[in-house]
Amino acid sequence: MASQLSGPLRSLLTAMNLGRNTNHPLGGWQVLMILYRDGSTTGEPMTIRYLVDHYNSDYLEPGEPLIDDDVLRPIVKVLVEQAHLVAESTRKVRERMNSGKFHVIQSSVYRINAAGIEYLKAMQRVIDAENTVVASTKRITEYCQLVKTFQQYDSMSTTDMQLYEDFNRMLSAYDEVTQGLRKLDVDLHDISTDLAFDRLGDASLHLQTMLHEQAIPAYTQMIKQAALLRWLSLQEGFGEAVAISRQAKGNLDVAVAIGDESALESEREKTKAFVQRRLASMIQSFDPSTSAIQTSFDSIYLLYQTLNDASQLLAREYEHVRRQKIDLRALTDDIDQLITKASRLTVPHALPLHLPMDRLSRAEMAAVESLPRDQRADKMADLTSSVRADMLEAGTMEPVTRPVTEAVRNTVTAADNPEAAVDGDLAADEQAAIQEFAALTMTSRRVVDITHDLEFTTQLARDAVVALYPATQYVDPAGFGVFGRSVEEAAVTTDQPIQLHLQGELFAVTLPHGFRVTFQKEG
Amino acid sequence: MAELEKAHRLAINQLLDHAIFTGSIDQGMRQSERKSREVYQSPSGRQRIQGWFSRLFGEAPTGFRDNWLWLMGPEKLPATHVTVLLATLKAVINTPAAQGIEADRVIEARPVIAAVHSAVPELGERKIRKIIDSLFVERFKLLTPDNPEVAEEKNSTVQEYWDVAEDFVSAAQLLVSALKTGLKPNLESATPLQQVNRYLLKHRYLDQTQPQLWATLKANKVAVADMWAPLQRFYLEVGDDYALLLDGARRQLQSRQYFVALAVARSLGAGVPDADLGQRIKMLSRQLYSEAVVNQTQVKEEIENNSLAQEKNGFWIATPVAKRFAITLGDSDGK
Repeated sequence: MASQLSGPLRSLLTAMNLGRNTNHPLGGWQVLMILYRDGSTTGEPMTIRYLVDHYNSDYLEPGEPLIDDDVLRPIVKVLVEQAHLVAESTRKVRERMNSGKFHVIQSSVYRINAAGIEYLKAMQRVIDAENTVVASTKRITEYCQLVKTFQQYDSMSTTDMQLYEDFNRMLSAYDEVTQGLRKLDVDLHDISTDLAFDRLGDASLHLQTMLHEQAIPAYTQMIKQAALLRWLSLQEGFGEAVAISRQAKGNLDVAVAIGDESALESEREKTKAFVQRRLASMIQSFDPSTSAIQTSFDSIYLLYQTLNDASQLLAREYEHVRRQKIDLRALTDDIDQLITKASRLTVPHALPLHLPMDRLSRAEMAAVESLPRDQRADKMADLTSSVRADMLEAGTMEPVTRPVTEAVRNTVTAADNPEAAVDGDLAADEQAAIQEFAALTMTSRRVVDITHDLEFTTQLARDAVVALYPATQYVDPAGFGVFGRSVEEAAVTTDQPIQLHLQGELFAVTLPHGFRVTFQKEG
Repeated sequence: MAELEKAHRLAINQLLDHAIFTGSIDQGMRQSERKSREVYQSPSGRQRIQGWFSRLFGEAPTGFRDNWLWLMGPEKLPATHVTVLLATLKAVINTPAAQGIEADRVIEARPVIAAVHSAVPELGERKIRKIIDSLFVERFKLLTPDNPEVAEEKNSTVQEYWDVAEDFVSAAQLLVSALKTGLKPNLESATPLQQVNRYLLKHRYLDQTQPQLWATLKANKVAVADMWAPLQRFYLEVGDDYALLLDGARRQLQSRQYFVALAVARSLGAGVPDADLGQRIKMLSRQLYSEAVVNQTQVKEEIENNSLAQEKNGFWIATPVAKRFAITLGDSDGK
């Protein structure tokens, strides 16, 4: 009995790909269906073998390849370990042999758990959401009522399940209301967008009614309950009371029936935690701080933004409608009539530019100009207060003096050129430098010996000696050289500093020691 | 005299300079402009502003839906200009793009100019464009030239557009109503002081060629000065034979043409025949600026724009305003 999946459900499930198998996108879903449908009724244990058999016989899609153990195992593993929709337990299972004898093996048996059942139902609801989620805020009154009654929770009895059921009812009412507000949010947004683009006449009316009669009252009511809810979440005893009430008379749970205290205790703890959790998340959606609004799943203040935008849009719309009341047709006719009488119409020229205010001294004008534009008029009025009386007898005032500055034209001549530096002539210098170097420092064709202060006439020779000195500090001086000859050996000889002076310079180079350098053999 | 605050003064200056004060608030407006619009919309602010105009000139601005119009000036525009004005109004309000429904209010210049040309065939399209610019772009500030963003520097034809002000239609309604009432022969008479104020505003100076006004002004100097004081912009100066309003928003001119114009005006004496004016200009410009070149037509323009001299019966005579100035040959920081 293969399940008939409707088109939308099929595409949703294919997109979700529960089980993570690319060849069998609906694999996980089908396994859940098998466990759900056949799990309780059949006597057989639901092993992998069972699942494979049933899958291949009833649940294959057209065009889907046959499934076997190895393919199904990872799917089921995902369902068990990651999705926690299926519970696994090992049981001793009796297998029947061909000969009729039974053989007991230990194998995994699978059972769908509560989350799995909820998942199946939820997917169905997703498909039908268009029809079920109504922007109805009718359950608001019920919600508000329940929050109010819970204010006196300690006087409510915990001997029956009333408290627990009421709490659940409050939760579901809250969920429906927030869903309704969400849908309202979306609808408002849609109408606002329509309005912004199309300016339909009715849309603005609808928007106004929705805003005033539904959205804003619902919104204000919800906000009012926030304080009561917060008080409730701070009550330690409330979670306890709900937990006890859950296990009171009327509960069909097997643990209650057999009085299994340890199971009951753990269930009570779980319920308390559940109550706290739900209340905390409800509170968070009423928290007005920006961080809470951004992180909360369902902040009510997100709706506020839409309400605000919608009201502003309505205001603008009103302005626009008011403005459109000018009849362009009539105005055009008027203009046409006026054009025929153009010669009799008086349209004055623009006002002429008056003379500038020049009765203030230079310092005063500077003071005015130093201020930002909008403060200048005040300042000027201030400064003129003394002069104003005089201005009414301007015949006795001095004339406004304007100094004329001659415009000097700057002509540039060749004399204005900057001094060009004189380049040294390197090529001719080198010959002279080599000769000087050889004469002053070299004791043989290959050896340079610096033992006393030297006076140079060519710069290159002096630079060469200075360049050779560092060779004495390195183990391998082959990288050093002057005038094209590289160094083979270099050693420090004397201890006294050596001064090298170039004629014409104010300063001299001081080397810390004298030294000897041997050039490499030529050739 | 009632004090005027900055917001009031801004609105009044807008009406004096641009004749039209639009009411809607634009995104790009400065804080002060927004404030002045809010103030004008409030009853007390409106009373203050309208009151100032009625007191000084006897004529308050006319309004329509928070937009205000105040037309006053010397002489009137010729009939062709008026026709261009009206035809442009008609063309723009009937352009769908100006309604601003689908996009921002930007219209193409060419079709509008063509439509106006068909109403005023005797002017060329260029002249029409100039007139529209001087009226709508500079004076009323209802249109702003705009061009589409060009990504590359190709030789594409320059397309010209205008941004239409949001209140164009209301302003058009205002102008049309004002012109219609202008046709009716219903002139309220202004009091003598108001006449003086009107004259002072419409012209650069007042002298004894207007004997009645001159007498009224002389008798009521202080009162007139006090009327203008709250605006903090125009300061009354009364000399022996002239009176004028000095504009605090303008600064002294510095150009060479201006100085030459001053010198020429002061040298005119009993009168210089029209034909000799050019010579005089050349002589004086050489005297003042031996090295630089000074353009004669510009000097003439400066003479006219500053009312330094007038032509009467073929002779140029200096006005009393020219005597207000003295030229010194000083260095740049002569104090």
